[in-house]
Amino acid sequence: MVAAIKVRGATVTFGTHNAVEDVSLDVLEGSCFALIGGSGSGKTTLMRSVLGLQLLTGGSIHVAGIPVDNSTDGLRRRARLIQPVFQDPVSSLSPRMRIASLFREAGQLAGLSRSESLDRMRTLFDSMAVPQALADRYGHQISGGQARRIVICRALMMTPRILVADEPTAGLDLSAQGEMMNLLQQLRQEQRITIIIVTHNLTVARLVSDRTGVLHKGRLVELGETQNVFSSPKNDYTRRLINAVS
Amino acid sequence: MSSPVLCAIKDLTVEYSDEYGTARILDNVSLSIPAGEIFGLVGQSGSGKSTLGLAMLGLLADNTRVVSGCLELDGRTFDMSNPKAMIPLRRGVISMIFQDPLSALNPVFTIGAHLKEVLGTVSVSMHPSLRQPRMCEALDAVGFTDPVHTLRQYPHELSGGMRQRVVIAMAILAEAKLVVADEPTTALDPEVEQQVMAQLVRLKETIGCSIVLISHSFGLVSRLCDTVNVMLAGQIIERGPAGTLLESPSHAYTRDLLACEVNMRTIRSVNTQSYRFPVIRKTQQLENE
Repeated sequence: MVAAIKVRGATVTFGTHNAVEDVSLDVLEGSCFALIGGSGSGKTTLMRSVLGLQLLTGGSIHVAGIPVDNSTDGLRRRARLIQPVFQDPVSSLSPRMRIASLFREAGQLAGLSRSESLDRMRTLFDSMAVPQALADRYGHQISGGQARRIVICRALMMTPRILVADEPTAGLDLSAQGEMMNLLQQLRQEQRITIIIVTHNLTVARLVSDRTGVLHKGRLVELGETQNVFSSPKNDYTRRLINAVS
Repeated sequence: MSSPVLCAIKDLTVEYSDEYGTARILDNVSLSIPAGEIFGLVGQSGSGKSTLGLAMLGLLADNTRVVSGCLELDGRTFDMSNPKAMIPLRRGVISMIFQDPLSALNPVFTIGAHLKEVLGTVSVSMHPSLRQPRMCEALDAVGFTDPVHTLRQYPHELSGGMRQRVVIAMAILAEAKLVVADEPTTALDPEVEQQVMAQLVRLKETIGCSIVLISHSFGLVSRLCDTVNVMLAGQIIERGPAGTLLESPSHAYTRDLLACEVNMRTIRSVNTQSYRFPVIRKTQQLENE
């Protein structure tokens, strides 16, 4: 397996504070990588950097060999490879646009015509069990469960090879958590999509990921096979984190 | 011997209205909260748990109406359908710890101002020179190492866990008889969750209050609560001691809810991508409502 994402010495500084400090890791193609850590550990900042939403102050990140920088060409090429799934599905759907319009907009970015965009949307809705009738609704008119499916479908409009899910289970009840994770698992299994989950839900990280990285105060304090990280953590902080949920 | 009842709710029915019509969120709910106990409410999103908690403080939204129901506490009966009648309960009798620590505190007031406001409501006769030490004592009780400094800080200078502990300190100062904690650790990481829950248990011991703990996690509720109530579609469908409910749930929905609970003991597949989480199936019709 080759690396879908290569992070080398990544550092993000806000003022005098290093939110992410000298982080290096690889995410292998087709695998699921979990980035765990407490609040304020730098997980979200690092993932925003991987997505190109936060520029590094030091080090480098490559997505499928393309460097993450602020060049327009790089941004376009990466958009087809890597897509985010944000924490709050309803607020990541524009309140002013009907669902179908949101998909047409995404289709345009993917170089599709209006009818091709709608065709792809319908196919994605079928594969994710979203009723076609929801295409005519606005974001606030659909349930949270359906909104989660729809934001995944929208990310898939670009046929990405990597999905980054930031706290995909936060604030959800246990059954809704399971539903969300099962959708990501289905994509992994059926389409070999690489999944990165950024979470403080250790139970979920342990069950779905192949490799886990533990961030603490911006530093990667542990990195390895998930099984090993959870069964025999080497770092004190990882041990404390795992003990808190055991 | 069971504890005496601190608070009882009788026949509480709440309806919500919007442009699409009216929905019943709580349907004839009655419950008794024993004194000095942690009383658990579990259920999925939309089951009515948070509405029940907010109704106890008279804090329901404008488009939500209490059709019927009364709350008995300390030998007094409060008409829950009259929001004004519930105001005295918010003056130190019932405290609330909200889910989102970011929005629980006023961003333009210091922590000291928040605590002073509580003291001003519940200890009107307290001499001003005694207020600062009392506030520091409450912050110290919830684990702040430099309370004098914390009093001068604004909410945005504190982490989520610290803010939840400030809210617990407010409940200590109020010497509340009942604290409603609505998913108090949802937004927190596991380590901080553990600290906040420990503070909540200490709060019960310090001021002898009862706590209503609202959560969607059976694991959390069963560790801390004496009695657990399971809610579905605005009704309490099963209740009992935490241990009994966990060992032998009698309602099919409680069994489904328990089956969804994954934890660190759940067996991990070698082939991780084939793992599927247990979920409660809803009909497509319900999902689209």
